[in-house]
Amino acid sequence: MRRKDLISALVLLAGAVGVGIEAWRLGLWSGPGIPGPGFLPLLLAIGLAVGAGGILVEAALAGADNAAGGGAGWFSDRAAITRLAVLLACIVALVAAVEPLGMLPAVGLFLLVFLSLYLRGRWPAILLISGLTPVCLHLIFERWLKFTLPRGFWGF
Amino acid sequence: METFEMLMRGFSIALTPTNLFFGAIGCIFGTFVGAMPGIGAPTGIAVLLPLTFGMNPTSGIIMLAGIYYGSMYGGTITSVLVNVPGESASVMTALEGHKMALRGRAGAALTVSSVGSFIAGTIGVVGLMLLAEPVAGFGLRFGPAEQFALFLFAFTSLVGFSSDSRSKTLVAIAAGLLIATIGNDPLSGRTRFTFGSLDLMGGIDFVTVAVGIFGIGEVLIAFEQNYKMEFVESRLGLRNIFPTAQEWAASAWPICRGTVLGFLVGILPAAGATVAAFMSYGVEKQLSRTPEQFGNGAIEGVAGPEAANNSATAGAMVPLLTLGIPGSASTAVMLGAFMIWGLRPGPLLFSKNPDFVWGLIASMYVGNVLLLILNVGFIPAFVRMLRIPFSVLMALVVVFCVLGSYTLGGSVFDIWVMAAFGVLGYLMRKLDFPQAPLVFAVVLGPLVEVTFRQALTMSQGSAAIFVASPIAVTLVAAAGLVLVGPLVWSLRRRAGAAGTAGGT
Repeated sequence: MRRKDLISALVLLAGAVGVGIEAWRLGLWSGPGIPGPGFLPLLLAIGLAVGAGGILVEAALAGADNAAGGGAGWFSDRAAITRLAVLLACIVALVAAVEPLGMLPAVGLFLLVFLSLYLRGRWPAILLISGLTPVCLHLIFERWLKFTLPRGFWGF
Repeated sequence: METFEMLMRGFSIALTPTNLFFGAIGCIFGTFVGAMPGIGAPTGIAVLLPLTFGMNPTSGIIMLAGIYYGSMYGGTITSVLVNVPGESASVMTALEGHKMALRGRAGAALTVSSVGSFIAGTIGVVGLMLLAEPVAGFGLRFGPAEQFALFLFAFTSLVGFSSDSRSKTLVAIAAGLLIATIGNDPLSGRTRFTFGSLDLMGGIDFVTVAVGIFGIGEVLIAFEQNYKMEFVESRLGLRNIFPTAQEWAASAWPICRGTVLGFLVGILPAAGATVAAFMSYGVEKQLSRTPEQFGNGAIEGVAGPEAANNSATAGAMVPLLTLGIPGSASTAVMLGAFMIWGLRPGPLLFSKNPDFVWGLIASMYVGNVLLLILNVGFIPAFVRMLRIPFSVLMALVVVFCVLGSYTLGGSVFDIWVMAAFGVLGYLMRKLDFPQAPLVFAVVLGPLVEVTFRQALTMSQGSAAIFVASPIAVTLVAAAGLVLVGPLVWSLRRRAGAAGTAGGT
């Protein structure tokens, strides 16, 4: 049986129980013959539980067919962990910087940091992209589409 | 006659400079995202969707539809030249097209594919035009019970026809519908699954989910797997792109068969362009006098699947426009866009918003012509565009995802939610859970719940209402059939295989 299927099925079963309890608490019926706010969520919790059970059965059958099933690792190569961690850190930093710095400066900074990691040494290209992109976004979103983007403490 | 008049009216809308411009932008962007591994049509549509919020809905849908069918053309470029399908619907094209490229016939493969796509796309739009109004007329007979039975059929089709694990598809649908229940209950006003957060009281918008799952999720996968593209060096000037007479002759019937098959498969909820291309490839291999050529660069294996995946995009528009049921992940995102623009897809769309519908249909004719020109004459330009470093493109996708999710509600909280769905999308890919059914369910969730509860309220809580009318009972029976049929079929095949193995 593939370990990742076993873990995901158990997590889903736990989630289904949690949703089922909350659905029950919300109330299954609003009045005689009138479904309440918890009615559909309860059915969906049952659906989740059935699906999770099915995953366990499918994983068990696949395990019986192919004993080596699930041998593949989570990451394609070791460097993948670093690539993924850097990207996630950059995305989190970008979102966290939107309110204090403003959307457009945060985007420029994100591109500057991110591209300097991946386009090593190609500074003209890095500076051009990280400088021009916020300008283009300002023209598209603020001038053309009239959206107001968050502004940071320096007012833009 | 009335259809012809409406089509002419549609052309007068589609050919205005503004709509032509947005149609062309959609086609070019669609070709580009279709060619890029890791950015498919759903990602392209989800990422550019926020740009349409400030537009006239007709211009918006013309641009989104251009991305959708443009991506089918674009998927061929990298399939043939790099052996990496930009779109899942182009997987079969890569099998044969890349082998042709290695023999120096890349130009012929790309041209046959573009011409086949053009013919199939155009005939598909004729099919859409002829079929849409009668189906929409039929849809007017649907009450809440019939509408819910139709949703049930769509969801069971997703499970039954799934190429992924059926259990995982069921989980994805249930999870999507649960996400759609977050926030205020539309009928009782009680808050559900908000954990006391005021930001969640209004619910989670489908754009946040779609942009996160298809945008950030795909970027995370692309980075983890370190996508790289190495192009086959091919001469793609005007002199080298024309197939020989023999190649044209070999492609003619596969294009015809692929067109019909793709359109019919495209109409089915859940099937879509990828299934159509796979089926077309199988049919061509079965019918071929030289099946041994398949896998070694058979042009029929390029022509048929490419025609099928293009006519499937027109087919998928039939249930979307007439019944409000998406036929693919891309049309699911488009369905959500309709709702944001204040349009209710379904039978009344044709009578209430004729300019919108006919403008879209006419734009699909125009778009196919434009894509033919782009894909026959400007392939070298697209190849040059595809040489842009992958990290730059991915960084820009991240930026558009962040901006897109912010512009929806003007809240930074939405960006965090989008990022969280990005991680969920990544985990789903890694754990082999299909993403499209989850997005389908989030988009359709509010309608599913309202029709379900309205129907039960009408019947005072009796589920018999779902089998009370001929339409509802037919749809419920069809739902049961598509759910159980493939399961029985696979069990019988398993038993047959076990019997054969036991006998030898």
